[in-house]
Amino acid sequence: MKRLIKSKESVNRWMERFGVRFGVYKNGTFNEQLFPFDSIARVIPKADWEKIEAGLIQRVKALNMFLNDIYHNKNIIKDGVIPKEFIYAAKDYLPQCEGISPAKDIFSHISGIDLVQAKTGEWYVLEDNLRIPSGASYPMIARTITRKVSPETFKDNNVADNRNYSTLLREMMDYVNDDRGLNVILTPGRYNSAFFEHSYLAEKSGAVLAFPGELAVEDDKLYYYGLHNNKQRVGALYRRISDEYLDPTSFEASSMLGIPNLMQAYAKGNVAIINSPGNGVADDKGTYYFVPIMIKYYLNEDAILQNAPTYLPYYKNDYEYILNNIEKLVIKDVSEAGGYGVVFGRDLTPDKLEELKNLIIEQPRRWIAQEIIDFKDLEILEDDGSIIERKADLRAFVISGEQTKVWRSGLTRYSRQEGSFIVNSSQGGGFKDTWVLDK
Amino acid sequence: MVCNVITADKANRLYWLGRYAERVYISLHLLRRYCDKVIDGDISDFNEYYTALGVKTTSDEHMYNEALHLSQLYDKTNIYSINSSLSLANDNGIILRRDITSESLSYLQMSQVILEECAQREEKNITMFQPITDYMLSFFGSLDERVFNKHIRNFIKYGKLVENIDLHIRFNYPFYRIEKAYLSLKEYAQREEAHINAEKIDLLDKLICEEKYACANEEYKQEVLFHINNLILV
Repeated sequence: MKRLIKSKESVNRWMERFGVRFGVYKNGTFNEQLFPFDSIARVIPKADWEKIEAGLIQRVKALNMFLNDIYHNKNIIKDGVIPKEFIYAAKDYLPQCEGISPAKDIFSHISGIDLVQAKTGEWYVLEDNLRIPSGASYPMIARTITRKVSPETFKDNNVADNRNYSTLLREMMDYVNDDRGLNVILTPGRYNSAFFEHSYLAEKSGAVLAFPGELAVEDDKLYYYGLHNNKQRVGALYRRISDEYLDPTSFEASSMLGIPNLMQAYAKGNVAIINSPGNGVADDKGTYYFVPIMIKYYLNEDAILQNAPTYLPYYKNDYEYILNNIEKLVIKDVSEAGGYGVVFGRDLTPDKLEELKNLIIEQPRRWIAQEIIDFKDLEILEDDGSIIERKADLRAFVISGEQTKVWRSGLTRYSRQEGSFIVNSSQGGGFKDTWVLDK
Repeated sequence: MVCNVITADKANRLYWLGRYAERVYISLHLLRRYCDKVIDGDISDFNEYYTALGVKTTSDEHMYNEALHLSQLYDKTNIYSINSSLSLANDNGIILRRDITSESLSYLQMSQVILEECAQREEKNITMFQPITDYMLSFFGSLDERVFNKHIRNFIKYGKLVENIDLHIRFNYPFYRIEKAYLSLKEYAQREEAHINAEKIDLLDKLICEEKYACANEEYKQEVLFHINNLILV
């Protein structure tokens, strides 16, 4: 690793060369910047990884079963395991998806599961991302670069090669496509914060990169349209557009990004949508609380990976605990994402704490509270060569196709502010490669 | 499944990618040529360069000045500046990464990095831009090596050749130079007939021939430029 660290400047040059950037809107202006990369990789020993891998496969299988159940039989509600309020009041539960069976019954094809490692060494799941989790392209290209810059580092360490993400993606797309047509990645466009990822994944997986306006539904089938009315059928659509903008005839009518009547083609089984619309009901911060319970319910197994200790104000005991201990908890607004809507009780003034308590009393379903896990700090190399420590999480990617597979790597995001737990790139965080050791 | 369809927007971007990349390459060549000319002549010889591009000079005497020179290199609002052409090539290239490959795109990205570094220190020495010329050649070579979809290659070539002819006519290059590029363009046109304005080909065939060739004649020049710039239907 030391050899790699010494090559930091070289690595950064290569990052520039490949345009590894992400876009940020600030005060209404789009700016593209290099995603800060730290060359000290997070290293996960084989034994740790085996447990993480088994836990992730178990979790994603249960989440897929949950989604299938929620949009069909609803046994988990009928059996009183999850209160119906948590389903129907969830911001991203979509009644338009009721009764629709996606190709091969897979709802979450690409699941981004956010984990943190506590100082005790235990891994906890912090969040499930089952809509359009992003970030895999960054460690993928970082590894391509670091292997060029310091080949001996990888020869001497038994690091699992992570450049197969695009193969996992293509295999999964082919599986749900079922030879119906093209594999397509739909991007909102150049000014989306993750455009680099959209274009890079399209290039590496061989999928067509389509922009709004280039796809249309005809006779309940999806087509990619070219010059002179040439068209080609689409079999699998990996959309990087959120549900509400996906189809103006089913969701947000003013959407200029979506494809009219796409839901109709999807409902008829004529196109696979990756990930399936309506998945937000399963990665809602309120639903998160129930994941270990759904693992037991659907798989009759105990959860291998634990959630961070979480409280729901919906339940009387939890409600009282939260109000009495708010200053030592982290409170999350279930309708927010990207690190927004997260408040640490210890950072609030007495007035603000009181205000937050009142909000929880008024809308208990809107909030969850968690014990603050003392993340293990990771070493970060500063520009001046010094080493500092910062909080970091790990987004692991689980691909569900013919089999459910965990990508042997992940996006390690770190906070650039001392003591901060907010690692999101949109809020200034950087990233590291994640090494999973083979031995 | 292989995609055989090319969208209108993509065709347009490929065409302009070819044009802007070629504009960067030829503009640098021309700037070097005029820098060389100034050695034996006068600094005002640069005016020929600006006039040929239709760039308005800042003084009545059409005297070369430093601000104009910097503008020609770095000013993004000047459509013929190196920075403007390279940025536009990059903008199209970024969108086309999937089709032109990351490796090809990286030559544009590296050129942009060099240009930004030069801009920061207001570099005026044209030899400092030699790596950009090298990268542009590598970019076109990389496309030849790595892009196998004939439609994608053709649209980039259209743009490249149209820009090549446009600039060489503006700078009064001899007939044989124009003819070579024009014949090559026609060869590509046969491959994608549906995207070529056949009427313009007929007109250009009559204009780009040795007996008619008259670049010094402004009317002739403008007519050829008009037809060549309206030849491709994207």
